[in-house]
Amino acid sequence: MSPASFQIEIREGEQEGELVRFRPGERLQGSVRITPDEDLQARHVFARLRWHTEGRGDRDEAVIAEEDLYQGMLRAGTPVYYSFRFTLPNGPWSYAGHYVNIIWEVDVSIDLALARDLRDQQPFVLAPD
Amino acid sequence: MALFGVPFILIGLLLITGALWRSVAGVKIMPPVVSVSNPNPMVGETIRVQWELGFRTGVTLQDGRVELLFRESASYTQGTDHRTDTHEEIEEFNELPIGEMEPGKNLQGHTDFTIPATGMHSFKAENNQLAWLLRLRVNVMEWPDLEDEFELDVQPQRAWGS
Repeated sequence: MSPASFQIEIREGEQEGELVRFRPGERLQGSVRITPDEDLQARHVFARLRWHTEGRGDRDEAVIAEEDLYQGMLRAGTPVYYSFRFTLPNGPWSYAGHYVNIIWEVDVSIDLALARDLRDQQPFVLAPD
Repeated sequence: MALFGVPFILIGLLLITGALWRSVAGVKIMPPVVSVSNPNPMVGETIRVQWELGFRTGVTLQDGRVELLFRESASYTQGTDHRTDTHEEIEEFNELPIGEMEPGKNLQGHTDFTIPATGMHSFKAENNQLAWLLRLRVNVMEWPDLEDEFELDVQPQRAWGS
């Protein structure tokens, strides 16, 4: 059981199946609601714009942008909200192939001292018209 | 179209597969020369490919093609082995003339290929690659085949109306 729950919401974009799609160069905005189940001393709460590969090959990944949303105490049972905003790059475009898939996502993590980071992701599609 | 008015970029690629081919196939066939109108096209863009083959001796070409292909490459570690799997799709091809070629003769031509408008751009990461390639394949009677490739760097932009 994770000591915190995340709800990442990406606003705007065009619905494409279960995901939202953005065009290269567009602005992606959203927010995250974090509800700790216990007091957490966050060294940082990060929102990261990133892509990674899935498929036959070993994983490749890159963080394109990062926002430091918060540093400090997160109180048990008290939901907190943070917003984030990124400008999307030209590529790589989202891709689903035979051996290679490219997945874009917003990754939110709580950086804790002497403990594994807590994190959640919300994928989206980056593709032109 | 204006696209073809753009001066050809002389890439002057000598497409040679390796030392073996150089020493064997090169006895009869000169290294092919391929040039393209734009080696960095956008997705949906049409490019013109010019090719030239020269023959040192008389040969009989049984089959030959210029191909536009898309290749996925995925590298992974399995135990102590590092392996790479590939998947190719030939998007377009153009047959080369076949038959007997005289010594000193040059075979040349051109073809237009279009990167599919719904396609993907080139992508290179450490373990995963998506590549667009021009491949020249020539099947020579009673002689090692010639096969070589030139990679295009397809840009993450769409070409509309090309």
